[in-house]
Amino acid sequence: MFTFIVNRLVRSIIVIFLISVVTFTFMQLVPGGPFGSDAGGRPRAPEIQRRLEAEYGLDRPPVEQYITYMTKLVFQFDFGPSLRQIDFTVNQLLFGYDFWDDPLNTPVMISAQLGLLSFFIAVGVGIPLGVVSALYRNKLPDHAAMLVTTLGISIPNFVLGLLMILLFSLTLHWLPVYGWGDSWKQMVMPVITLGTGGMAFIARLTRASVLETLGQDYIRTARAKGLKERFVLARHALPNSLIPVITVLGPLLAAWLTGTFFVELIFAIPGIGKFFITAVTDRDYSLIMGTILIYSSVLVIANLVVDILYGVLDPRIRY
Amino acid sequence: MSKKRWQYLVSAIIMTSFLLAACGGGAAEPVVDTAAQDRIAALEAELADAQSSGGLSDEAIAGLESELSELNDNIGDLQSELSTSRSAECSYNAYRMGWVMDWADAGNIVDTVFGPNSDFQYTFWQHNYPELVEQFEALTESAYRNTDLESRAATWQEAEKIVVEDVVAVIPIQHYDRTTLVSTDVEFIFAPFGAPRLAQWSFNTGATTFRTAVGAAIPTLDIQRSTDTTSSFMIYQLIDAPYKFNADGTISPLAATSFDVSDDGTVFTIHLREDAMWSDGVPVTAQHFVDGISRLLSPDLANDYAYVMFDIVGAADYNSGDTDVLEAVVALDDFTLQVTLTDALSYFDSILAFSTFHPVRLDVIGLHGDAWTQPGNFVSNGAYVLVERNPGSNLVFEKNPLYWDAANVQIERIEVSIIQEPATALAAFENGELDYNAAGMPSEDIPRLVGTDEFIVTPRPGVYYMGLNTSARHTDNISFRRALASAIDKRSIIDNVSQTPWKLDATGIIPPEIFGFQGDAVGYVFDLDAAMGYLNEYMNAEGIEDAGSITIELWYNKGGTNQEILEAVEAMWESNLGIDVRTVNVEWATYLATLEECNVIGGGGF
Repeated sequence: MFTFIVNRLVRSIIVIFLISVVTFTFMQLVPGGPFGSDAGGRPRAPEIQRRLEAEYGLDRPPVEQYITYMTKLVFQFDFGPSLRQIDFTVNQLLFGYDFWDDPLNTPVMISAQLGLLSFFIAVGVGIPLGVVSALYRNKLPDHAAMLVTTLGISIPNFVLGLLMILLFSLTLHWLPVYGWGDSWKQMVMPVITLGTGGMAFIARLTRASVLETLGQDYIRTARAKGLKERFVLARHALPNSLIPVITVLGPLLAAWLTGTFFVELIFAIPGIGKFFITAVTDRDYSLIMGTILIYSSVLVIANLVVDILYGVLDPRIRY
Repeated sequence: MSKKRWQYLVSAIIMTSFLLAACGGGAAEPVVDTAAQDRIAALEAELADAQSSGGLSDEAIAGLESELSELNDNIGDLQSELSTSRSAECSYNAYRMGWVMDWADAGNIVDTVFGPNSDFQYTFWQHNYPELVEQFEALTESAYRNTDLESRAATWQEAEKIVVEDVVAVIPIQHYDRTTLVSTDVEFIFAPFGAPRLAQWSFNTGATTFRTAVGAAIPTLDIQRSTDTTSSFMIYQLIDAPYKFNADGTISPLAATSFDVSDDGTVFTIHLREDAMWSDGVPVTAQHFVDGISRLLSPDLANDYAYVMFDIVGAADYNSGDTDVLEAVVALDDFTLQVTLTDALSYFDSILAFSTFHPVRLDVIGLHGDAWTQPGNFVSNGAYVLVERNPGSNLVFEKNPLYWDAANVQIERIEVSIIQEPATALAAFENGELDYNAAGMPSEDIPRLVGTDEFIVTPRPGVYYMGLNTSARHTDNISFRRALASAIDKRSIIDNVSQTPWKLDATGIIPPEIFGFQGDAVGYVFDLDAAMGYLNEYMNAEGIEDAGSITIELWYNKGGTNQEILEAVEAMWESNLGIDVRTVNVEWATYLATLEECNVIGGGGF
C-alpha cells in the first residue's frame, strides 16, 4: 500500500510536469499576446508592446522563459506576476493577499467551499435517489426520480441559475442575486445550480449500477442462504455497486473544487473558476499556468484517493 | 509499473518535441539575417576604404563588389519571402474596429487613429495615396498649430473628408455612447470624458452608502498606469486632477484654483489649492504633479497614455529614454505648476482634467514598492480613501476626512462589486442590490429598459467603424470602396438589428460631442442607386461581367454585438450589390495580433 502511494505520487509529479510543458507550449502557439491591446480594449502601439514584453521577460526564448518560471514555482512557490491584472501576483489572485490571515475568504477556498457543498448535495441526494429508483424499478418512485434526473441533466446550469435568480430574487425577494461569504443566503442558489447536474448524473449511474449488481450470482447466493433483504442490500449490493460511482466522483470533485466558470460567473462569486476562461482570452500566461497546475494537481490527488478507495470497497483489489 | 516505463519515455519524448516545435514555430518564418546586414556594412566600409587608399587591386574590389551585391540580393529575397508568407494571412478587405476618444479635440480621432503615421489603422491608405497624404499632413500641421477652436475644427473637417470621403479608408457605422442604469434615488453627473466622480453624486433619500458594480476585474489602481474604464472609475474617486470635467464637456477647477496661458499659448501656469492634503496629512504640492507627469512619461512604465503628453517639450524623447530630464514640467513653488508645450494647443486645457495630470507620491511608492496600491498603503488626494480591495471581488471606499471639500461630499461609503455577467448585474440592480450599474446589461434586455427612468444614455465620444484595406484586391479601387460605403443602411442596423434606436448613425468619424462634427455632410449616406453606379463603374473599368464573381473578406472579432452588426453588413452588401462576402471572425487577441502583423508588412507593400 505504502509503495503504491509513493509510486503514484512520483508518477503524479511527472504527469504534472508534462502538463506544464504542454500548457506552456500551447500558450506560445496561440497567436496574440497579453499586451496586444490595452486594458481598455484598444490596440496598443507596437513599441509599447515590445517594452512591456521586455519588462515581463517575454522577449526571452521560450525555453528560457519556461525554465525561469518553473524554477521560481518549484523553489519559491511563486506563480509570477499577473500580466493583465498588473497590481497583483498570480499568488494573490489565487490565494489572496495573505492566505493564512483569513483562509476561508481566499479565491481558492471560496471555489473549494462552493465545490464541496455542491458535491455533498450531489452525492447525498444522488446516491439515495439512485438506490431507491433501482429498488422500485419501473414503479412510481423510479419514474419520479428519473424525471427529476433527466431534467437535472438536460437543463444547463447557467439556465438553471438564471431561472432561480428570476424566481427567488426578482419575484420572491428571498435571496440575494450575487456574492459569497456575507450570509448563507448567498450560498443557496449557487450550490443548487452547481449540484443539480452532478446529482442527476450520480443518481442515474447509481441506479444502473445497483440494477446490475442485483443481477449478480453472489446476490442470488446471499439471498439463497437466507440473508434478510436488508443485509443483502447493505452488505453485498451497495458497496459493490458504488465502485463505478466512485470512479466518476474523483474527477467530478476535482473539477468542482477548483471552481466552475458558469456558476461563478452567474452569481459573481470571487473564486478561481472564471480564470480558466478569462486568463486564456487575456493571454495572461502566468495566470493560465497557475490555474491549470492547481487544477491538475487537485485532479491527480482526487484520482489517487479514488484508487485507494477501490481497495477499501472491492475485496478483489489489493495493492 | 516497470512494464509501463516505456510509455512514460514515449510521452516525455512527445512532450519535448511539442516544446521544441513551439520554440521552432517562432523561428520557422524567414527572418532577415542581421549578421548578413552587418557583413554588408563591413564590406561596404572595406570597399570604400580600399577605393580611397587605392591599396587593393581591381580584382579584389570586383570580388568584394560581387559579394556585396550577392548578399544584397539574398536580403531582398528573404524580405520578399517574408512579406509573401505573411500577406497570405492579410486577405481582409474590411475589418471592424472602434475608438473612444481621450480628449476633446477632433485630432484625437482624425489624426491619432487614421493619420498616416498611426499604428491603429490597417487600411494602408498612407502607402497608396501619397498626394492625399501630403495634403492630410499639411492640414494636421496647421490644425495642431491653430489655437482658434473654430478654424481648427474646420481644418480637421477637411482632414476627415480626405480619410472618409476622398480615400474611403473607413466606413463609420455608429457613434458610441454609454448606457447605464442609475437608481431614481440618485442625483448624478456624467461628463463626456473621464469617469464619473461620485463625490459630486448624492442620494435624494439621504442615504450615504452607495453600491455599484463594474463589469470587469480592476487590473490596477496605479494612478499612472491605468488605461481601462473600470480602473479609471476607481482612480477618479481617489485622485483629483487639477481640473474636472463638467457634464457639458467644459472643465472647472478641482485640485487647482486657476491657470494662465502665456501670450504665445505654449506655457501653462497652474495655480494649485493651498489647502489640499493627502489622506496621510501631507500637503499636496506642485512637485507631486510634476512627479505624476514624469512617472507617466518614464520609459520603464511603457504607458499607453504617455502619448497624450507628447506635446510637452521633450516629453517624447524622455519617454523613449533619449533624455533623462524633463525640463518642461516644473514646480515654480509649492503651489505653482508650469508646463511648456512645443506649440500652442487649443485643447490642452481639457487635458488638465485628464488622468495624465494626476499627481503621485513617489515616497509612498518607495516605501511600499509594488504593494503601494493596496488598501492601507494607498494615499489619495481625492474625496475618498481605499479601505478594502479583494481581487476579483470587491472594493470599498470611505470618505477622506482630510479632503478639502469633505463638507460637500454626501456619499460616505462606496461599495464596488465586480460582476462580470451582465445578466447578473441587471438582476442585482433590479433586485435593489445596486444603486448604479456600471457593469452593463444584456443587449436583449435593452428594448425592455429603454424609456424607464433608470435607463441613462450618456455621451462617450467615439466611433464604431469598418476600415477598408486599400491594398487588397477589389478594395484597392476607389469606386468599389464607394460602392461598399453607400450600400449599408446603418439606420436600419441600429434600429432593427441592435435595437438601440437612440444611437446616432455615422458617416464621418468626428463624434457629435466634439467641435467639428458635421453630420452627414461628410462621407457616404445609404443610397442604393449611387452604390450601384459606383459598382458598375468599377466593373466596367475592370471588365468584370458578373458582380457575383467579386468575393471580399470581412473580418471582425467575436464578442459584444459585433456578430449581429457585421452579419447585417454582410447581408446588405450581398443583397444590395450582389457581391459575395466571406466573414472571418476570430477572438480578440488573435484578431489584433494578425492585423498588427499585416500593418508591419503593409509598409513593404504586397
